[in-house]
Amino acid sequence: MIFVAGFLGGLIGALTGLGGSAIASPILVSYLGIPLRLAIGSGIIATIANSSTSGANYLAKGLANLRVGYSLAIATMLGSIIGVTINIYIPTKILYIVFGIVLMIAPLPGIFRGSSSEFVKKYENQDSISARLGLKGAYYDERRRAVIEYYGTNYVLSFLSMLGAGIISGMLGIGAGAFKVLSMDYILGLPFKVSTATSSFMIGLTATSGGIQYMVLGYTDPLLVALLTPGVILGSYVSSNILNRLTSRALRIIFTAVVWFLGIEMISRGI
Amino acid sequence: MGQRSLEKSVYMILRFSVILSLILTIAGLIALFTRGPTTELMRDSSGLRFGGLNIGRAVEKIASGDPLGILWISITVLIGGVIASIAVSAYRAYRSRDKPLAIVSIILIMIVVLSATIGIFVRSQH
Repeated sequence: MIFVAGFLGGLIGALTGLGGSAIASPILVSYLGIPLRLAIGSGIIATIANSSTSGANYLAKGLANLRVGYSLAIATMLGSIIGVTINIYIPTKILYIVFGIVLMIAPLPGIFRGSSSEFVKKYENQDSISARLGLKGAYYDERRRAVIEYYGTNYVLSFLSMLGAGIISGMLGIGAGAFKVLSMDYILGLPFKVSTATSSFMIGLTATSGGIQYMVLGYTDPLLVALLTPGVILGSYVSSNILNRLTSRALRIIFTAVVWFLGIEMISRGI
Repeated sequence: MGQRSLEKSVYMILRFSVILSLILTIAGLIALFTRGPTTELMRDSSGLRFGGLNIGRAVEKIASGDPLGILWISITVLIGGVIASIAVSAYRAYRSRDKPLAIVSIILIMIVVLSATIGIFVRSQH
């Protein structure tokens, strides 16, 4: 059952941009009676495994930008530490409500964005910090059959938004990839493909700082992780290699409805 | 230093850690289910029961040959892979005089240390 929860999490999480644990944890809590903090502390480890698989693949393909990922991971990893600390001190009921609200909000950008991934340069100049950090790169776009060069800017603003994404990631034990992509896409000005790939790589870095904290605090269950992780990785693989080819907007909306159902379930537990 | 070369090195480290972690996970699960419930975590009347395990108890389980210890090692390998990839980035950036990347990588390692330290502090308060 835990493996199935992980598989469903990986499948729906990858399609909605939420990540496997964001879906698997509510299933574990609602249908298998696993305590919330234990599900979160174990789910975040599954997130590392998933990112180390998919994010690393994007690195090898040259889509994820290591320099951008590391530079912004400073914010997400610090945010994650803050998020875990908040998790420990706030009442469980509030944690349920926050989890539910995040589940309901996070898939929205994916629906409204549409299917266009055409890169349009948003900013004419690069700020001095981004230039000094070397936040630039290039990738080969198969559809346009051309090398697309890009650079990042607005580092400070992006850093602050990433801090918020890190807090959500640490507090709920999720990848929070949807928020990271938004920051890189709209604020830093990177191409959507690069933002998605770099976010996938960054999730593992972010989850590492949170995961270590949960381990030290005793909220990580090795058996739960062992049963959950293979399911999440398999579900994500199926989603990214098979379902994404079939993806229509209608399918995304159906999966979003499932996520909303889980979100409402979490909120009702908190009220 | 070519960034592509570094990215491929990071890819190799992460890939290796995931595969090793997966092998250990499978070995741990096989040992756990063939040897039966060996710890207080494993079973109540309705089947499997879960509960968090802290690092102190994890070390005891590894030392006593408990299959849960193997599962703990698999998690450590996974996290260790990420940390090793950052450390390799820091080293290679330093060697090639890529100061910004070296500094950023070192900051990331410091944040990892900070997270463990804060975890220990919060635990002592809780």
